[in-house]
Amino acid sequence: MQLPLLFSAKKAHGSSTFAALRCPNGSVFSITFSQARDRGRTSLPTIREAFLQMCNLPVRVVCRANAEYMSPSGKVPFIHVGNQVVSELGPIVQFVKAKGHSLSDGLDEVQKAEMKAYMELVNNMLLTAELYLQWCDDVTVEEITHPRYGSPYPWPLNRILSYQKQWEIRRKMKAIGWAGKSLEQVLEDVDQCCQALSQRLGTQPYFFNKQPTELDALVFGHLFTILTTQLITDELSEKVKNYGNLTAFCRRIEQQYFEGHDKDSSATASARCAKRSLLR
Amino acid sequence: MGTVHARSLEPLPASGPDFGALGEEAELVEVEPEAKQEILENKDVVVQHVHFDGLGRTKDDIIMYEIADVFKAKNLIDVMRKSHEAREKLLRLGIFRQVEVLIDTCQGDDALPNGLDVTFEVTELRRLTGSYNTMVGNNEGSMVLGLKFPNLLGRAEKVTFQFSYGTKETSYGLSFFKPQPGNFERNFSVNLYKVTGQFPWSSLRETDRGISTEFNFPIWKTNHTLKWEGVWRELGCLARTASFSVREESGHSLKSSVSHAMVIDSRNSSILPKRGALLKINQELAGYTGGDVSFLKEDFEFQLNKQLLWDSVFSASLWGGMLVPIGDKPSSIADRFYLGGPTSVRGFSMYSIGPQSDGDYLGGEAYWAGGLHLYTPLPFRPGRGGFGDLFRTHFFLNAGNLCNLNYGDGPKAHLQKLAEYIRWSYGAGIVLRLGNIARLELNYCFPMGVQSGDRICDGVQFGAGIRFL
Repeated sequence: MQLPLLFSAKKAHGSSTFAALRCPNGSVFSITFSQARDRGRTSLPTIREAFLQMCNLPVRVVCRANAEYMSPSGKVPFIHVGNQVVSELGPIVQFVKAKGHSLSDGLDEVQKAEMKAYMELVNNMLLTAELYLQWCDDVTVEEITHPRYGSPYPWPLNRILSYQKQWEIRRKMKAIGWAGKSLEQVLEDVDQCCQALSQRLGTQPYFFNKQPTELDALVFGHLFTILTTQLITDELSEKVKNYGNLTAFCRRIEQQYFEGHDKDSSATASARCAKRSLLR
Repeated sequence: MGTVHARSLEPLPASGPDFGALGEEAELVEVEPEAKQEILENKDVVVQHVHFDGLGRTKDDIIMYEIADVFKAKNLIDVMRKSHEAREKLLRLGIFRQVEVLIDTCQGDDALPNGLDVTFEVTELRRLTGSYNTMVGNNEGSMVLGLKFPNLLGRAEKVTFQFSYGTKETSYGLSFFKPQPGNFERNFSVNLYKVTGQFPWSSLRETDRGISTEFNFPIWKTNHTLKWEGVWRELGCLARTASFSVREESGHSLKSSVSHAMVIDSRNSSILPKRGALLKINQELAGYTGGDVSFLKEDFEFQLNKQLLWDSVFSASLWGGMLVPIGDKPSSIADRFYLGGPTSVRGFSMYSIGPQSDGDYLGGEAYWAGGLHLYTPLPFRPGRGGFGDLFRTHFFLNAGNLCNLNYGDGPKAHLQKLAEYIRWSYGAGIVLRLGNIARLELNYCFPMGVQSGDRICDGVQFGAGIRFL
C-alpha cells in the first residue's frame, strides 16, 4: 500500500516542502494536500495533521502551490487515499470513521453534541477572525498577505490572484456581517472565544478526559497557527497567550505528536519542512 | 475612328424604332465589329486619368498604391486586365462593399487622341456592422454578438469584437488589424481574448485569458508570422471523477511565448485540393519573456497532392511535433500534443491515443502522424456538374504515434520509441466540401495496432473540421 500523503501549505518562499510522518500502526493510508501558501486558512493543515496523528494514521505531507485548485471543493487541505479525494475536516473525519478509526468513540451523546457545539464556535469565531485579520486589515494585507499569497506566481499573475482572493473574502465577510467590524471588535470576539475554550479545558490535559478528540485537533490547529504566524502586530497571539492553560495545551500536543516524529521525517523527507515551534 | 464604346449603341430616334433605319444601322453594325477587333488588339492607348467616385473616409495614399499599375497599361486589353486586378486588390482591402470599373475615352482640353479615363465607382462599407446570433448545442445555449469596424482610420485598419454569453461559459475577443499601405500582405494585428474550452477526453476544463500581437510578412513565396503571446491559463477538472494526474494540473499558470511560423502553400484550394503542396513549420519558445512555463515547441505539417486519371486525386500528408520542457518543471497538459480522432488518425476516438490515467488522456511530448488518401468522384457520378461535385469518395490509410520522451536519451532512442507501437488504420468513406473552409467526412474505419489504453471507434465515424490528416 502506498504511503499516505498529507499535502500541506507551501511556505512563503515558494519552495516545495515534504514531510513524511510515520506512525507505527495504521491500516489506513492517506495523502493529505494542504495549501501551498498561507492563505486564509493557515490553521487547516495543522488541524489535519494533528487529527491524523492522533488517530495514529501514517500520513505524508506534500506541499503544492495549486492545492486549493486541486481540491474537489476548493478548500484545503484534502487527503488523497488510493483513488479517493476527500476535502475539509468534516468529511475527512467521516471518511476516517468509515475506515474504522475514530477519536470520539468514547464519548456519549451529550458529550458529542457539546463537542460539535465547540467545534462550531471555533469555526465561526477563530477561523473568521483569522481570515479577517489576513484579508480585511489593510496594513496586513499589503505587507504580508499579498506577497505571501502571490509568491508562487510570476508577475502579473501574483497581483491578479491576490486581488481576486481578497474580493472574494471581503464579499464573504460582508455576507456574514463582519465587514463592519473594527479590529478591536474582532479581537474582543477572539478573546471571548478563548475564554470559553479555556473554561472548558480547565486543568484537564484534553477537552474531554484523557483522550484527544477532534475538538482537540481543531483547537490545536487554530491556536498553534495564531501563536506562530508572524503578522504586523502581535495582538492576536497576545489574546491567546493570556490564557495559560491554552498555551500549555498547545505545547503539550506539539511535543507529544510532532516533535517526536520530526527526527524520523528529516531522514525520510526529500526536503526540509520549515516547521515553526512554539518554543522560541 | 478611335471611339471605344463602353456604353451602349447610339440612342434610337425619337420617333420610335423604325425598321427601315434599323436596317441601315444593321449594316453599320456589321462593319463595326471588324473595326472593333482592330482597335482592341493593336491600338496603343495611354491612361490619362483615373477617377474615384465614392470615397468617404478612406485616405488617398492607400488607394494610390493599389491602382498605380493601371497607369502603366499600354493597350486596351492591358488596361482592362490591370483595372480588373486593381479592382481585386481594392476588394481585398476589405473596405469597399462594391467596386465598379468604367473605361472611357478622355474628354476635355488636354485629351490625347488615344487617351483613356478609368473611373472606379466604389461604395464604402458602413462604419459599424454588427451581427447577433444565438447558438444552441452541447447542453449549452449562448448569445453571440459580433461588431466590426472596417476601415477605422481610413487606411484599411479593422477592429472586430466578438462576445459570446452562454449558460455555462462566457468568452470574448477583441482584435485590431492594420495592413501596411501598399503592401496588404504585410500586416500586424493585436488580439485580446478570453476563451474557455472543455475537453472531455482529458476531463479538463481550460480558461485562457490572453493578449497577442502578430506580424505577418511574405518573403518570396513563403508567408511568415512572428507572434508574441501572453496567456493566463486556468485549468480545472471537468468532473469529480477526474483522475489524479489531471487534478494535479489544476490551477493557474502564465505563459509568455514568442513564436514563428512559416507557410508555403501552392495548392489550388485548401479543402480537397487537386494539386500542389503545403508546408507549415511552426516553432514556439516560452519562458524567456516572463511567465512560469518554459518550453521549446516545434511542429510541422506537410501535404502533397497529385491528380491522377479520371478525376481522382492522390494525397499524402505528414504531421509531427516535439515539445521540450526547459528547466526542471515537467510539461503542462495544456501544451502537450494529442492524437486520434476523425480529424487525425481515423478509427480512434477524439484525442484518445497515448499516455492516459484512469481513462483521461494526458497527451504526449512528441508525435508523428501520416496519411495516404485517394479521392475519387462518387461512383456513377450522380448530380454531376452541380451538387454531386461537392462530394468525393475517399480511401485512406492513416498511421501515427504519440509518446513522452526522456530527453536524457539520445535522438536514436527517441526515434526508436516513436517507431514502436505504431497505431494505424485504413478505411473508406465520403467527404463533403463545405464552402472553401470546412469539410464533413463519414468513414468506415478499421483501426489496427491498438495499444492498451487507447479508445477506438471502429466502424462508422463522422468528422467535421477544417484541418484533416
